[in-house]
Amino acid sequence: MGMLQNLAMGFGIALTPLNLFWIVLGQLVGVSVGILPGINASMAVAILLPLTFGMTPVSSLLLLAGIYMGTMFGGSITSILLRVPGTSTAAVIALDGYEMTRKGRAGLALGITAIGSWIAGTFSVMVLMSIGPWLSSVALAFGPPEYFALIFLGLTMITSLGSGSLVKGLIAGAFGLLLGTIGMDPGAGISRFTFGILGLDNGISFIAVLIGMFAVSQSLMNLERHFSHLFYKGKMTGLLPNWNEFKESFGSIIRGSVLGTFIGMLPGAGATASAFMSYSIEARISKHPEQVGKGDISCVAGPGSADNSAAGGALVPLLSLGIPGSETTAVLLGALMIHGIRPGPLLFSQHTDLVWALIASLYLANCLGLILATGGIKPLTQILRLPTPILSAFILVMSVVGAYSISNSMIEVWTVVIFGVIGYLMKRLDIPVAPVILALVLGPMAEKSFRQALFMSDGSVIIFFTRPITVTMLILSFISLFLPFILSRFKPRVLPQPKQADES
Amino acid sequence: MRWAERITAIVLLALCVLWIKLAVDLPFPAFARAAKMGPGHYPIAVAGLLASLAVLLLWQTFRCEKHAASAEDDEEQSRNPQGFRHLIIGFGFFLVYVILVPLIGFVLASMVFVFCFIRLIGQFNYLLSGALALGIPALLWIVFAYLLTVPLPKGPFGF
Repeated sequence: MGMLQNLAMGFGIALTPLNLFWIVLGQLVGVSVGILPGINASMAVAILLPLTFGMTPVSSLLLLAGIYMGTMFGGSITSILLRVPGTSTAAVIALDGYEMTRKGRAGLALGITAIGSWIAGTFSVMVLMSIGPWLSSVALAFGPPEYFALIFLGLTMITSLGSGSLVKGLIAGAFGLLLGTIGMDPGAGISRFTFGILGLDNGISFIAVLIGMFAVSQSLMNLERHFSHLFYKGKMTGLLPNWNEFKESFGSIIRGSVLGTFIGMLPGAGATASAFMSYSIEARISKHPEQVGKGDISCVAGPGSADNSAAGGALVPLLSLGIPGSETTAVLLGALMIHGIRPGPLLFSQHTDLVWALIASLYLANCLGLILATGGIKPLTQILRLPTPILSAFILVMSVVGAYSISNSMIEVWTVVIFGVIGYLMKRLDIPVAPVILALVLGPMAEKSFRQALFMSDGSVIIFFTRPITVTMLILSFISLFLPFILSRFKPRVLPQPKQADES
Repeated sequence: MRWAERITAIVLLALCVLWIKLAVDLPFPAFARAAKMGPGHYPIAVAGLLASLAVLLLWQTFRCEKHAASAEDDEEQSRNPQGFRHLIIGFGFFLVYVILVPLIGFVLASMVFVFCFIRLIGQFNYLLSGALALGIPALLWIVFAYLLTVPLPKGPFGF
């Protein structure tokens, strides 16, 4: 089947009333989550994952993908209106976005971000549609050594880009790999590090670790902070830019879209890095350098587009190679695995319906985002009135019931508690939690591929240095360790700080 | 934060030693010998890597003593005493809640937890705390026990 036929089939599946309902719900939840500081996409997907156990794989993925895409735009709303970035990706948008709000141009800032997000999201989905099947057909020729090298590349990129400190990022990754060794060994089937606990024979529950590290730890962090209740009281008019304003920002939107998509495709680089890079480029080439940091529309349009396209770009390695490009795509990987679907080269040929329904749903989610942005921004910001203790209580109860429903056992609940504490301590120590999750997923895959490769070569590691693709990826792995130093040059020195309630 | 990093490094080192000890004792079946890699080799390599990184972290805390000390001062200054109190109380409630779930059932334990949490940490009035203590567990019971047919733990009253 051709690409257009596949896309038509995908729309046929995504546009059924039930699936459309899940996409709309996902988008609404995603935008709400993006608006609320202290909750990110990974946390929302983690606590909602148990709810999808009873759904079909397609419905489950459409809901979670809707949340994923919705969060990206939701984060920019509070960044622009209140200078409170709902997500880390939206932090840079606050620099000029909030200045535009102060000048009475809040509507325009939000409108251009929504239009940019729509163009960027659509562009990244088109790239996913074009590159994904090709990349998966290339990857079909991969043997265990190439797979090991690819996973190794993913691990080095993720651990090196997750934190300000390279050592801490690597510690998080190595800790995740260590956790991944718990359970049955993939070669000989021998039980390892289970300490006599039967529930650990199949490995430590990925979902329970996820809920603990993202939901419980963040709730504990939120308890310590004081979140002021901020409301936008100003007027919101002129959401749609005029022709001159659109012309002025169109170049930034295109640059942000292209940059975000390709940066998003790199494992670990993600939406935040692409938004910062886009801001840096727009600030350097701006036609009004005196306006940069004081409400330059290009510096809002570029990063606003880049973060959205990066979200789509991160799906390319996930769907075609089975390697998650960001922490949220790692959670999506978990969601697919729960339903017995293993992302990778065979996904495009074996689960055509699922992949193309997902692609169609991303198109729909982008359009829904635009509709929501032009019609419902102000009512949506009212969600900020929800007090933190009520939200925390709900998330903690939801975490317990969600963890219990994984295998109807309290072992998973205790896993959540333990990893909630570990996640909290890691956050306090500035150790990133995302590499733990990614390494927990990728570690067993790496070990399996490594051992299969050694079986092929009668135990000789030379096999990893004689195959061109493997050598290239191993070299890239070592280069990727130095990427944080390169990317850090693009980060602006001044980041927006949350304002106090009385200042809003 | 310096002392916390040192404790983390030491705990990680102890974990790695335990992992290596257990991995060395794992059997190496004859059929797996062709790959010259048994069930214990990969965990040993990973534990070795983590141990090396832990040593590096430990070394960094001594090398960057001056910088770390000033960061520690900033950390102390930014610490909110009331926030820390909330954290301890909130986590204490959560721990008791998890212990109570299998004993008195999900619904009852959740009601007690939500009420205490919202009343004492959020300092909301009894009416709102009570309403939420009824509403949140009821909503989640409907979704998980009724719609998704998850057999949630039941207490002495049958729910």
